Order: sequence, then C-alpha cells, then structure tokens
Amino acid sequence: MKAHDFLELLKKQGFNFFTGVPCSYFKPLCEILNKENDLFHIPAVREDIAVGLSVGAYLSGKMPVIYMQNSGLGYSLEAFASLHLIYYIPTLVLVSYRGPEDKGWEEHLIMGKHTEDLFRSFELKYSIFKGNITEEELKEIKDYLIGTQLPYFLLVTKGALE
Amino acid sequence: MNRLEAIKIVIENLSGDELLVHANGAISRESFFCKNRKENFYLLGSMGLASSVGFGLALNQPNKKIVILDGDGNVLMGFGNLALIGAFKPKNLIHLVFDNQVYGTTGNQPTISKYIPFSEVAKLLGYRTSHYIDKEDSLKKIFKEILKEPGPHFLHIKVSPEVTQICPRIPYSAKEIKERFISSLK
Ligand SMILES: Cc1ncc(C[n+]2csc(CCOP(=O)(O)OP(=O)(O)O)c2C)c(N)n1
Ligand SMILES: [Mg+2]
Repeated sequence: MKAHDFLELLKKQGFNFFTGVPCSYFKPLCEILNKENDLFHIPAVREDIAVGLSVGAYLSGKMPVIYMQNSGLGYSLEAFASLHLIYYIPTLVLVSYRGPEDKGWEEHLIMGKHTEDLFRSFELKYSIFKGNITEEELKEIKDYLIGTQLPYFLLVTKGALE
Repeated sequence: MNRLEAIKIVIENLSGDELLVHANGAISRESFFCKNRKENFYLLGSMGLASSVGFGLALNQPNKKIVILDGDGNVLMGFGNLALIGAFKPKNLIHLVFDNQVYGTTGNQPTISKYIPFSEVAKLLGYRTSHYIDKEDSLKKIFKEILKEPGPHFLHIKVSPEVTQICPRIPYSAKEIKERFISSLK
C-alpha cells in the first residue's frame, strides 16, 4: 500500500509522534515523515533511544509510533523490557522484516530467523504487515494499545509500503 | 561533595513544578530519599536512556522545565543522546550529570569518565550552555541561574564516589511511578 495512505490511516487513529531509525523498506515512509511538518517526527540515532523517546512522548500525552529494522529490535529489547513492558506504555512499533525471505544479506540472516521467536518469548503482540491494512484493523490495534497499555508490533515485509 | 549532597542541592533549589527524569540506580534512590515528588520519573532500568525519556518529554511539554539527573556511566552508554539533544536544542531541557567516575550502583567499578571532557563535548554538540562544577556553592548558584534561562543546559557535576548513606529502593512499581507522574501533569 502507499506509505502516504498508511500514514493517513495512522493519523486518523490519533498517532501523532514518530521516531525511529530507517530501513530501506521504510524509504517511502521516511520520505514523507522527513518533509511533512504537521507531523511530529524525530529521527533518532539509535533504536533504543527511539524507544526511550517514545516514553517521554507518551507521558506527555502523545500516541507514539516507532519504526526500526529488525536489527534494531535486537538493540531495543532491553529498553522495551525495562520501559514499555513494566511502565505500560502503549506504542505502535513498525519493524521491517529483513531476513529469511530476503536472500543475499548475510548480516540479516540470524536476526531474521529469530525475529518472530523474539516476539514470542518476550510475549510481544505482533502481526505481519504485507501491504494491506484496513481502517478497522488499525482501529483494533489502537484499541489493543489503549486497552492493554502495551506496545503492538507490525512486522513489515519487503515492498509492503511503497 | 558526594552524589547525594549534589542531588540534595538540586532538589532544594528547584523553583516549583519542574519535571525530573532520573537515571537508574542510586541516582533515583537518592533523589527519592531527598524528596518524594509526583513530578519525578524514575527509570528502574534502561541504563543510558534517562536523557531519551527526558528529551521526549521536553519536546512535548514546552511549558515545563525538564531536568535530567544522569550518571557518568549512563551518559557514556547512551552517548548518542547528547548529539540528539544538541541537534534539536530543546529550550526547556536541563541535563545534569553526576560524575563520580564509577559505576557506583554496581560497586564502584571505574568508568572512563576521567578521560572525557563532558562539558566541552556537550557545548560542541550544541547545548546552549555547559558548565563544569565541582563545588557546592557554584552548583547552587549556576543551577538557579540556568533554571531561568533558555537551554538546553548541561552541567557536568564532579562528585566523590563515597557513599555515606545507603538510600532504600523506591517503594513504587513502574506502573505506579508512571501514573503518579502523568497525574502531576493534569
Ligand atoms: C543495560 C544495563 N547494563 C548494566 C546495568 C547495571 N547497572 C545498573 S546501574 C549501573 C551503573 C550506573 O552508573 P552511573 O550512571 O555512573 O551512575 P552511578 O551509579 O555511578 O551514580 C550499572 C552498570 C543495567 N542496569 N543495565
Ligand atoms: Mg557514576
């Protein structure tokens, strides 16, 4: 789906603070984030810092979205474990799914192979986003965030956002 | 001056409803021991990220002053935060580093802080003001001054690693810390 349409759906659900570190899968998304000034966007320098930033944003009343490559998920798990999962910070996290399907990148092989295992062992709620999401589905995610006060992860596959 | 004495000076010289964000470990406990404030956010873990949380708050609470109480080990771990804060220059952010040259909370193992000119680094990275402080009276004077001036401000506060008072753990769960803090903003 178009990154633009996806962002519009996010805005409609009230998401209003964006931070993260790019992945090539997020190129179309970041292009918009980096030029639209009505969106609150802070490009972070590390994924765990983006996780910390989202806490400050949430405490002051924002609804945060973090974007990161699954390599950054590795850097971030302790931050989620000692922030979002114990303070109860609802945040939508877009994680690009580099790895098993995405051949020829040795650096992504191991993390890619274990990404879903990591979500399961940390009991992080996630689903795979292949390029289609309806307003209702996004509203369900939003309701999950508000209801549980926990983060929700969308594993974004190659080409899902264009 | 040791860390507890320095923290006490900071707490006693707040002007009112500043929001405090604390690094994990002894810094959080000592501040809690000095004063139990609802406007205080304590990181129980997530070493290195107190300044990330503080920066996120500063961006979204432009009418409040945010004071980050950080440690040398914490700053070194989350060093990228200095670059981020220096780049975005939130006016309402005050970054204090209590530098005891050790990982105090885990038993005084040395950090590399004695080689790091934190206040020069912060200044170069874009903090509006930056000071090195090693005396109680200058801490009091400079802290009171910068509270009134637009930031971001950086104070590198040199403290001794000695601990004369063991402060108990914070008696709240993470969720309680969050809820108290959010309620103080309403
Ligand atoms: C990621 C991570 N690594 C290590 C620790 C263990 N730990 C807790 S506090 C601390 C020392 C913090 O040092 P500093 O910021 O200098 O504060 P001080 O205790 O000296 O005041 C360490 C290493 C931790 N909590 N998290
Ligand atoms: Mg220290």
